[in-house]
Amino acid sequence: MGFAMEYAGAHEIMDEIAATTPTFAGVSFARLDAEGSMQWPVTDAAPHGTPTMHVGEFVRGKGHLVETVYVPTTERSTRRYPLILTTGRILTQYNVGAQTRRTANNTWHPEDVLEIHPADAEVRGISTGDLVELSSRIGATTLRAEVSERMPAGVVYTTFHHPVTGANVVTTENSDWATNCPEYKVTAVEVGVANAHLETGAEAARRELAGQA
Amino acid sequence: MIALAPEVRLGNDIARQFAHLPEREAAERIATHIEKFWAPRMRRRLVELADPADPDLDPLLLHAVSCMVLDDVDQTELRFPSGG
Repeated sequence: MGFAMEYAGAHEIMDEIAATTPTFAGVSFARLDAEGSMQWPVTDAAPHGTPTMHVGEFVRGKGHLVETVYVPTTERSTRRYPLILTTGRILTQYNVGAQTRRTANNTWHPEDVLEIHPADAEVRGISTGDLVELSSRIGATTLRAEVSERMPAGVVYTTFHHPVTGANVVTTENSDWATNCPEYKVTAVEVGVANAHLETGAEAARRELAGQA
Repeated sequence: MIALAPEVRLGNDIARQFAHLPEREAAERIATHIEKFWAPRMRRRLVELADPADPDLDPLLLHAVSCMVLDDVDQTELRFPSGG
């Protein structure tokens, strides 16, 4: 680091982007002021930009539709990991943490909780608010349970909005064959009441923040 | 359970996706996919790992590796990304 980056203004950074990125070749602050707005690519062939990326056909010609067959995941629930974990997002935290976390979304969703069907909770002695350990053959984490009819029996759910929860510590390395998109929806897990003296990742983070203040 | 090398795991996943096709066509489709979408270093590593005696490698993946072109991959379709 410490590389000399001496720009007289943002317009010079735009000029550098234009010089190094073919699809931005025709973009400058002066051109943006003149046009109001330009949609990339802005090139010699499209000096005013490209409002619609593909007209009539794609670069390769017609779109290429590929038949794909259904190949089930190799992940299996077992006697040791009898439940399936699905992770996902909720509306009130939709990726704000992956951006800046400068908004007050924690007001609605202060920590990730594990939703579990009443029957699955009952046989494990779990009530809403209990600290539970969520474990898979990959890893384990600790979070609070929320007994919920929203879940089908056999499936548990949590969000991954708070990195301290470590939902991705539990999920497998499996991914989609074509895009390498991780298989965050299917992980065989077990859930059990955690030792009472343990604190959740969210509580640990709050405690550390309080200590710093 | 011993974790597979990522190149073998991903290669096996791709092989399974084409397993319903006649073997020669499947091998060529798998090879083409890897040539187009894997980084050169991953392609070279897969070739190194492609040991016919290794039971963890899908035989179809081995066949595909024998079809792979390691240099001069046609990048035409990758040069103009469609955004997103």
